[in-house]
Amino acid sequence: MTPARIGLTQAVAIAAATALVVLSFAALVLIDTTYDGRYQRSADRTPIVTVDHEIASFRFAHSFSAGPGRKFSVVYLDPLDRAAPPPPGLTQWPQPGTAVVSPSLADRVDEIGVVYGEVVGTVDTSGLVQPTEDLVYAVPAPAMFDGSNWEHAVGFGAANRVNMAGEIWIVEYAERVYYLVLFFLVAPAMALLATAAHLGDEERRRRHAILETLGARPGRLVRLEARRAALPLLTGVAVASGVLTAGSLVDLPLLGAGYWLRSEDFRAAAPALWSVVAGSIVAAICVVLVATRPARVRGARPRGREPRYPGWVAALAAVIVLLTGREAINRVGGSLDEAALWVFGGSMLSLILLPTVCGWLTRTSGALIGELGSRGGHPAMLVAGAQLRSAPRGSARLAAGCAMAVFLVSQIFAMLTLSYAENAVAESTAKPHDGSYVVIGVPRERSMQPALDQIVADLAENLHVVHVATRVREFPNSEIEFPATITGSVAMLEELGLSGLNEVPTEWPWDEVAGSGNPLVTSAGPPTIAVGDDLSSSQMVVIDPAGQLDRSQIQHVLNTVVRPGWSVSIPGDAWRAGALNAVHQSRWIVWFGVIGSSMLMAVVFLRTWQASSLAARRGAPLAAVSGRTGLTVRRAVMRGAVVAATVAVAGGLASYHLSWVVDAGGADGGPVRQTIAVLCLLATVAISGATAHEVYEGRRAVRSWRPGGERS
Amino acid sequence: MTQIETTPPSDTCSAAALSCRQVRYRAGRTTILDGVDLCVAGGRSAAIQGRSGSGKSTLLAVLMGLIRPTGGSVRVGETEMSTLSRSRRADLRGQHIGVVFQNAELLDELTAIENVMLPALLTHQEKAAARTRAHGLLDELEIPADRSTAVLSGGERQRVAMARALINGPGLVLADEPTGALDAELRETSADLLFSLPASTGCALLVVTHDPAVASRADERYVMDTGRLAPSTLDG
Ligand SMILES: Nc1ncnc2c1ncn2[C@@H]1O[C@H](COP(=O)(O)OP(=O)(O)OP(=O)(O)O)[C@@H](O)[C@H]1O
Ligand SMILES: [Mg+2]
Repeated sequence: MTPARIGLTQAVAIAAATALVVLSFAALVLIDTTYDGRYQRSADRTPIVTVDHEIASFRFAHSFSAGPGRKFSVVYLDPLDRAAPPPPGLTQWPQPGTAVVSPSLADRVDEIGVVYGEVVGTVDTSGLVQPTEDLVYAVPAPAMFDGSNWEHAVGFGAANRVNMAGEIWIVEYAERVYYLVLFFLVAPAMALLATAAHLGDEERRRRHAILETLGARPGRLVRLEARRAALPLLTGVAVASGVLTAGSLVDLPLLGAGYWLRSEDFRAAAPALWSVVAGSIVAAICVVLVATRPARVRGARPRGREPRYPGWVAALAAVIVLLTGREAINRVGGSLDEAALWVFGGSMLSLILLPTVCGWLTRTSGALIGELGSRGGHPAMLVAGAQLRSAPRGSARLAAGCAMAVFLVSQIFAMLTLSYAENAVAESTAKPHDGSYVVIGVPRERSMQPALDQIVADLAENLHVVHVATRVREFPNSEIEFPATITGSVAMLEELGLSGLNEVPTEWPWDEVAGSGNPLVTSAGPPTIAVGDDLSSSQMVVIDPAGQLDRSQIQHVLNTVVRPGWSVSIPGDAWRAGALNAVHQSRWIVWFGVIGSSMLMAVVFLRTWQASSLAARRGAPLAAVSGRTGLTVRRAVMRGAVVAATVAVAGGLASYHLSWVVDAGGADGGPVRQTIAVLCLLATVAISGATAHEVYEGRRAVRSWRPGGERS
Repeated sequence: MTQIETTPPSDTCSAAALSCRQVRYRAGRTTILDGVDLCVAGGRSAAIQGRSGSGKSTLLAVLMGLIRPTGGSVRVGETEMSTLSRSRRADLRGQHIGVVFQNAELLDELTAIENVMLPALLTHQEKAAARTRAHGLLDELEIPADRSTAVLSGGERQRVAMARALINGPGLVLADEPTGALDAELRETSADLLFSLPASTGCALLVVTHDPAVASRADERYVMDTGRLAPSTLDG
């Protein structure tokens, strides 16, 4: 490894790492404006509601349409004054009986056309909170009955920022995203930069020693290193600035996250963004200067300082992992945020202590191997052990990098397991009812009775239709009960097994529609609109005993009878939407995790490369002089084995407490444990690669080694 | 550097280019230098011999201010070195001391001439003049100026290091085994160059060497033995 090759690698690595540091700091700023921007765009299209029907320019109603894996907002519009401005993203009001969809729903226009009217165009992304948002604007054709659920409005742009379009809030709170960015972007980027700056440490130390002997002051050496790093740093800043400038001109997709960064959010953030860029440049410079600062002179032979890696820190780390894991489990039943805080805090502390733990493990096993080699007279063991004991830093860093990657990735999988567990439960609750029954929300106005009658008449013969009204009953001891009344024809109630009912049936759908444990009574007669102050819910339940219910068909019937249509749902929809949310969130976590662990892998790669080149060079004289090149191989393999074992112990243990928490959270911790095992295995493969590289470099170094002093 | 050049040979240590008194150096529990007294006047040369591991290189490191002695004083010219800060010691070294190391210690990423020019550039001297002087020195030592340092032989490296030590016209030259890697003929020419310096420039020269022939050229000869320095009893 020539100094020139190291210098070039280092320059490229510093440039790339600086760009990542600047961008990850910029991400912190963009979170705020992005959230603000989303609120703003949501507000821009929120109708300004009025109770004065005389001044209204349009009427609207909104609902959701849900299906497996997808949920979209439907906004019914009825322009009273077609000259009034249409919603943002539309150039004109659609004609009655037509609909306009967001670009992301283009693949579902047929299905949407049947239910909401022919799809005649797309909503421009300027009118969407997110370019990938699922949204339908429908102007329904005149129907038999005009619904009571219209609201009147005078225009768009309500100041009160109501998230009416029901966009799936991918990660609801900006604060959570801060943690993600700090943990998965900023920290690994800084680590990458520090690693890049540490490349060529040996050469730098020697260079400093020579220059100082020739009369260079330590301050001069700092300036020298600053000048060396200046060009790569500036290049990195230029690349990052280029990306940020591009982002303020056009919308940029965040590949893999299904998310678009809006250019107006960049522009809104511009002042903050550029000051953060300036701040992150300062941070980057500090990282580089600290990493390349002149070493303290300690004796006639300047040599690198080896950290002490005290054993009590390793013990402390183990205690912290145990305690925070236990504490998190204790809090799983209570507030989720508290449990998360314990896991997060414990994880952070473990991460901080991990390098020391790895160093202690490396040094201790080095001492052990050296002792064994010395007793048995094995030169390879003696040398490998002595190297690990006296200079554990290189190997310890490598192990720590791998262990951190294992830890981060298993953290991601723990979160995924938890989110998917929620999703799976939601799906398994909703699935059995797909096609069995649907629930239709019924307005609480007697005037809508003819519409209800018409809908019952229009629905297919084979479907059972009953009305379920729940009311609130308060007892003197302030207990509350929600008694339900099921109204339907005598024949239908009989077919449903509800005639002469005197005890609560526990099977579906009643426990879900009426709420389990509430008293049920039946009432013979046609489904009737329910009213009253004590009314808690009023729903029509449509049951298909054959389980072949077509939700779109029923929505179509509702839309042709009433304008705007009443909305169809199934219990579990809300839950499903929540689970969908979780899946979206986990997609984000995966996105952050992939970026974060890629950076960590780069850290590991650079450190491996550096450590193995150095070890190869150091071992060359011994192997060349003894004529036993096998020594190089055995020594490298032994070093690799120690690093792999350290990763397994430190990374595995640190990650393992996550699986307890996942277990305690009710999900199956098995996959997390498997993931940890697989990651440890992968790390072992990576370390074997490093060992192979060391063997290769070592053999080369042996061939090119000449007696007469070490040359760099 | 000027006030030293003109100092005449003298046996009073107070006016010497280099003088040290009762220098001690301990690393951990081992005493490496145990009360060393030495003084070399301008225009004079001295040689130190001694067994391997006796502390010769450590003494040079103390004298050039790389490490601070545990006790005693070191004066270079008029300046008490042992109380200076690390930066001031670096300045003093750059301006007044030329150094040749046991194993050359060149920067391989630079060419031979760039290595030689370094001390001049570090003391903010004019680049063109520095280049001319470096060329002169390298020619004298018969080294191709623009060859990459990495491919130079051990002897060539040693001579580049020697040229580098002389470029600033130092008042004090410290050399640790400067002729170790040279063949007999080159050893003669290099030693000729080194030992002609005190007379031609008025500097003080201190050479650590295992080679009796080199040592015999010095005006004064010392022997180092487990951290103590004594005048040589051998006549050379
Ligand atoms: N920082 C240190 N810590 C402990 N011992 C040291 C340190 N530096 C030097 N020594 C020891 O001090 C002694 C003197 O070392 P030094 O390099 O000065 O010897 P030397 O006389 O130059 O030998 P050689 O002729 O072989 O070059 C040696 O035994 C060496 O091991
Ligand atoms: Mg020596």
